[in-house]
Amino acid sequence: MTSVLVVDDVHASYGRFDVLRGVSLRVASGELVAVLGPNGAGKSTLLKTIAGFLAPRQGSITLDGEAIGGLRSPALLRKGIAYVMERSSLFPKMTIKENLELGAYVRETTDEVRTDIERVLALFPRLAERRRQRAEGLSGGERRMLEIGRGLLLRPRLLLLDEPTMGLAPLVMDLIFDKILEVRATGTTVVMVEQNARRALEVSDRAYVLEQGQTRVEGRGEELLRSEAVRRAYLGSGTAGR
Amino acid sequence: MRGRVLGLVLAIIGVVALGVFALDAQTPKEVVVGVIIPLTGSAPGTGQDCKVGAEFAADMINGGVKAAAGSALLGAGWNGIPSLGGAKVKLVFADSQASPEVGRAEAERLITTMKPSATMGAWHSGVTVAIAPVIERYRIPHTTVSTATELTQRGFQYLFRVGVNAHQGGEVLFQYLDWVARDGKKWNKLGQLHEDTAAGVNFANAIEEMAKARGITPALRVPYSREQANMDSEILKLKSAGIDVLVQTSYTSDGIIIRKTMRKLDYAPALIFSQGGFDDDPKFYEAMGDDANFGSKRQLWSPALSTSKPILKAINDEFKRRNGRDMNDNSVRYFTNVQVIADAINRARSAEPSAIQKAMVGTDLKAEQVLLVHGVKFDEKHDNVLAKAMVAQVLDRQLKIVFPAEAATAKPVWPIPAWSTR
Amino acid sequence: MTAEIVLQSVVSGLMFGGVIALVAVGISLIWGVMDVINFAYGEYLMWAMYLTFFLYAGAGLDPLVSVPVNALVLFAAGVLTYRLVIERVMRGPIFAQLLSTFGLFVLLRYAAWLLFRPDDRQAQSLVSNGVVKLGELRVSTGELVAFVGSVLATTALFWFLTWTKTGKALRAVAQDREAALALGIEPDRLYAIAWGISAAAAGVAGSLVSSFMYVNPLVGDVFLLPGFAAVALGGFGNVYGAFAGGLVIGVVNVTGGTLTMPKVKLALVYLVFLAVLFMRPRGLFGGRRQ
Repeated sequence: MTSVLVVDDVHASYGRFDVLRGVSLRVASGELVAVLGPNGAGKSTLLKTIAGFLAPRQGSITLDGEAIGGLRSPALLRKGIAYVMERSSLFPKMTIKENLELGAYVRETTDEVRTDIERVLALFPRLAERRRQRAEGLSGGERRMLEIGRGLLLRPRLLLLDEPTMGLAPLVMDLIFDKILEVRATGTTVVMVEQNARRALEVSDRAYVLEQGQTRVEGRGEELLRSEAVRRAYLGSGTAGR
Repeated sequence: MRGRVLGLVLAIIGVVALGVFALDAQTPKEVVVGVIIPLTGSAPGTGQDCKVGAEFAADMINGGVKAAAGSALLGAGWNGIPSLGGAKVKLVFADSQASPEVGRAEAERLITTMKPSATMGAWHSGVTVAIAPVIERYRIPHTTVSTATELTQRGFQYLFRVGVNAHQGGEVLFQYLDWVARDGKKWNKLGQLHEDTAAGVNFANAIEEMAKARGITPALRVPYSREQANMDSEILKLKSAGIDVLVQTSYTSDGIIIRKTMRKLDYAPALIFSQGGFDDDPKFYEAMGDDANFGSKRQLWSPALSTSKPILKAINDEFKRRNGRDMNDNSVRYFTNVQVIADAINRARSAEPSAIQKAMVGTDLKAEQVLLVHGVKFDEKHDNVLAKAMVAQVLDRQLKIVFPAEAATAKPVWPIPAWSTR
Repeated sequence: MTAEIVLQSVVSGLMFGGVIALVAVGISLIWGVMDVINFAYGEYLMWAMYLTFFLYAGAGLDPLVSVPVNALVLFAAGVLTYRLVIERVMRGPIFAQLLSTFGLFVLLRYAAWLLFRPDDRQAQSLVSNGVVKLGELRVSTGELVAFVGSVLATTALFWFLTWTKTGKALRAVAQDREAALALGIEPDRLYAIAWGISAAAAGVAGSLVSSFMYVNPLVGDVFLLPGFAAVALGGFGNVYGAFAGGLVIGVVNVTGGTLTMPKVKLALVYLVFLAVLFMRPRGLFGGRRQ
């Protein structure tokens, strides 16, 4: 199996706080992998480290076999790692179209970019109809879609989503998961951190559960869903929705 | 024994040396006179005029101006101050930069480092007002031509006003208005446009007072601050109020902007009367060309006066030879300033400031003795009771005396022609 | 006070307002992009006017021809200011940021005083002395050219912000710096560009007004205070609002002075400034917008 991403025993800290204490995972091309776990487990930190906002103290990260641990953001963008933040990160006064354009900032401005914008808008018809509308006027779900769409403008090797359904109403959450599946269907490899563990396991190929900065559990989505231990530990109180 | 002889010899030498120095102190080789003027700043042209005027007078007093010989001018035949054994007058200059704060600091610096026997300055009324307390504190006799009324209202003992004050300068306007009225010229409204420092404010106040005393109600008064890009509202206000006799006090840069704005907005009152300032500066005439024409001003001097005072032609010609231009109000006033100081030093027979001050109080110079049209005699407030002015109008880009008739070299143009006809 | 006089005052106010608008846009750009108040802005304009004057006095260059020269030189000066001063203080407390531009203000003003002396200097231009008649209304050619020039410069700036990749990146950094970083946009380079453009605007304004306005070390005040009032009026950080604010302030200044007393025309501008700050702090056009 060709791995797009290999994270091997990565340790990372914020100042004196050791957040990641030996996380390992691998993601194959075209997979949708979920990263779950309680608050403070280090899920977001893991994504940030892969995306180059934090340098690992120890361990290695490789993308398509190339070591990328320690590289910073603009370089990683060029290698095709798109990162969608947990918080809303759109440019509020800029239009949908302008936000998408900026997603391709590190690329040369060519017709390819223009085609990609159309392609993304086709993927999100709700955005297409209002492409000249300012981002601040969008609903929560539409914003998420735009952020994901913007990430796609990179033609990413890897799309990292940090809590894509946080704060959204249940119906909208479903919509977002549907869209993530559509994105995966186009061949994009997706790693997503999610609080909604049940739904995340339902849609992903494989999942990892982190706890206290370390990988605790790993397995295929349905397996983990059926596992008694997992259900009791992680699907009991912490999940939202059905 | 040898030690004592040596000591005695040294003592004798010391005493003799001291005696020599002491003698020197009594008859100084030179008398230092300070001059505080705007050599840089918003009126460097006028500052230069004041400087050359003062230097010319000092040169004459020191014996360097042959053209003056044989005339009644004070200092004409001198070779330094006579009563001080021919001590030369030495001028030292300080630059006020047209700023009261700088002028004040410079005056203090000049006084404390150069220890002048007398001073003069500072041309800008605002600066003179600022340095007056310094002069008074250090007790240096000081002559000025600034017109601000307050300079002689505050009991300064050491400040002497050689030229006209605001009232004397404004007086001539009303005499002029009466005179043109006899010729059938009519006007409706008197208004004022003035910069808002001491010069403008004092003159405007004086004009208002004198107008009211004559039963004239000033219709509008427009003070303005000097740092401006746009004077449209000022001119529109005057135009809208129908002001046809305009009394203006401006310095050069604002004078230029104002005249240009008047032209742009097509505002031409019957009379523009200025107390001097922008219209004494060659830069104004350079910048405005023909647009400088037809403004009138309070004038204290003209080369044309040589018909009644022949020495003036000789003096002016010599000045022109040295400096490339005629004397004007500024150079003439500063020339006279130096004369007044030299006269006081001479009568005091001393270079001590306090002695000079006492002598200056008793100044009594006749018109023939100075370059100004009038003599110099101070009242108890130290205003010059003999000071009076004339009216000149800019015709063909030159100032020509138009009033009083005895001194006039041209007929006034009233009203100022409309801009469209020029 | 006839309607004609009032109308003339409005037109004159607009002409003056055009230049204030350019100044306001320059100030607003930096404010909006990086939350820095450039107190020294008027001094850049003053130095630009001196540059124009010396090019005129030394090489006979008409002030209008100096416009591109000024723009380039001041652009470099702006970038230099950012790299040498602002970049460092941005990492410090907000106090340091405010004081640093104030320090620049003092430095630039007194350096000019020392080097150039306080004399008024006036350049002459082809357009210095003409008068343009629009019916009964009069505008001096110098003012008209300054107005048109300012409008053109501001339009060019808006075009840059709206349509170019760098311009959009600049707006993005202003709206969400971290998100921009995550997309590979480097704020530092853009800040330097913003400072360059802001200073260049002052350079253009300086050239344009030199055809009718004299320069001395204090002249920055004539433009800075109305400029700030215009920025407030337009909404802090809103460059489009700043432009409109400039025109309004120009009219308030001249028309207000004509209708009341010319002496208070600057006070009227302050009044507007204070009124906006107290009653509607986000300005007439509200909020930040790039």
